[in-house]
Amino acid sequence: MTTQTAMRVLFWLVGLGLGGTAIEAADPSPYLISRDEFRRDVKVIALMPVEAPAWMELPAAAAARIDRAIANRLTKEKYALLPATTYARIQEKMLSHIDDPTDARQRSAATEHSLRELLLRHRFDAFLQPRVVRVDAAYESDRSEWDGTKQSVKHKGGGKFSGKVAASSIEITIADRSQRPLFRGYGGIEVLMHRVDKQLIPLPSSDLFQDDKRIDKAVTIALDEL
Amino acid sequence: MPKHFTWCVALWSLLAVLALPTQGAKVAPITDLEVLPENEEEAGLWEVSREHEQGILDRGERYGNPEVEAFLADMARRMLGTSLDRHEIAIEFFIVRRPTLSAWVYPYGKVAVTTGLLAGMDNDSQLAAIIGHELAHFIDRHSYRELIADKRQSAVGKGLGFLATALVAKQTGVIDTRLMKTGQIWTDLVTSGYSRELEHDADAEGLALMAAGQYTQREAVPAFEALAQNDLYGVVDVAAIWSSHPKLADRIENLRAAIADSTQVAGPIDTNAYRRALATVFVVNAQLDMNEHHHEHARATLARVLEAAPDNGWAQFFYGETWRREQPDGPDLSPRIEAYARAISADPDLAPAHRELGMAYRQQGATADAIAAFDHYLTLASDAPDAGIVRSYRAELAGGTP
Repeated sequence: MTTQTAMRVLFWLVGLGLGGTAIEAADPSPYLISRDEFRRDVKVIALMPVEAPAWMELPAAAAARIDRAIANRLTKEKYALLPATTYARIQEKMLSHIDDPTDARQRSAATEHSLRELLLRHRFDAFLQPRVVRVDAAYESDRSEWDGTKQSVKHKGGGKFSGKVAASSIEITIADRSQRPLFRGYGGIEVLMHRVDKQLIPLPSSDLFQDDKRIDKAVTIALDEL
Repeated sequence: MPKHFTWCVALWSLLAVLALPTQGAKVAPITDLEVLPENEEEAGLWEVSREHEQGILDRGERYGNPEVEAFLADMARRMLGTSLDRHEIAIEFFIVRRPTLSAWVYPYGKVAVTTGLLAGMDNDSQLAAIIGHELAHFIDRHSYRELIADKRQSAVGKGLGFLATALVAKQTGVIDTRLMKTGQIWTDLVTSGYSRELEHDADAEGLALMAAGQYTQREAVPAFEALAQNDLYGVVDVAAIWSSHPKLADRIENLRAAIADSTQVAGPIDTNAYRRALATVFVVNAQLDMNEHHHEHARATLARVLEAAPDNGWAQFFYGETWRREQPDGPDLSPRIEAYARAISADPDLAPAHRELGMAYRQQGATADAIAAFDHYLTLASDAPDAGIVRSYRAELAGGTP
């Protein structure tokens, strides 16, 4: 059985013909409600600290840069802000009340209670959660392009290759007080790999998130339509 | 030649090809075979199917519930009788943790049903209508028949992802460039659901299986109508785009006509028995709905359980949770407080209900009530992951150091 046929069969199986269950429409707009509704309902935004997977080893300076870039942009757009330090202080207090901060269940409970405490103690209209995420970037002839940005892929060895390369993007989600997402924007930061001959190899973490201009630009792209 | 003319010709050619009947090949029903799978090609189909099933397991989407699986297996046995005994095929079920209403059958006789489908039906006859339909696909080896028919169409399908994307854009008002880039949408659209002819066959045979199992056929109509709830999840109806796939409304009309011609004497319908038997699935699915911010839908599901089983503590608890998640600030906290109190009344040992009651009282400023509720929680769940945090709330309320 060819791969193509196998793929078709796979989708027959999930299809069932019960009158739907086919695809979900992807929306190119970052707004998950109407822009007018967003503008009407969101005046005060609580900033949350930047999240990133541990393996990315996001430097504290880069996280702070992202925080600042977001705050600057929102202030320029006339939103009132609750700084990320407000949540960070609450979270620190919650973590002090759990027995084992290395226990995933206890940490998760601390996060849940921190969010609820933020809601209880502060008036704001929406949360803003920035995350640095790994994405697959289109890659052609040592140029990659994704989430509104472009970058050359460093390489050693000749030849031209195409496909996908791992890259980082900033994902910015703004959600209402019931945590219903209202806005989600992406901005590409940088590629996470380089090419040696025919192979794509992860860049050392010390090489990543060092370019302030790329970080600022990623935030600008992610919040472009705000 | 004007561009739009070329576009239209390409579009209509494609639709015409997709509308081709897929029944040309002769495929015997599974009951007529001596050996399964029949040949290497069908064995390949089974292999791909097993990989798909494994993918669901690997993603942790399976909701293991032996009691409900046994309930479903009994339903299949009731409809099939001894027809598969010669082949030693036992129809198996597995439940997928998804709020959409969906079911499918693998060619080796395993039926997948979503929690959304189980919670979307309201009696065993309705569920039998869907399961009977899937069993008909299995018995008549519809996936294998589609595989054979696909050989004729595959050449046409190559590289037309952009066209399919345009059609979806017309339907949804959104151009999904991500799908266009991957070309995956072509595969999705052409292969999502069986062809019109096979679906109609399965609908008719599903009704016959319902009758064999003494399920009430007229319940097939509300069962298929309930599938429209998928709109809530933004699921696009393929049939509304492709002429080769039957539209749900047409199928319902066909079912209605077939049922009108049926001589079946309708049996009794016990909605409450169904809700009680599947109460745990209803509660699980309500949580999935809450995670997708469909709080009202979750409440409606839980309310159906509670009509049948008012003493279901978890259903009462999550009913309160829908209010908390939807309206964290209130201002009226009484709906959630009442629900948590009912949960505790039904099951005094339900620790999360005590905690949430305490949280709600704390939010209201009802200090003594909050302390009492937290004390209950800490007695029942002293080693809970958040026990230390709840102790800090209690200390704060009691005037001590948090």
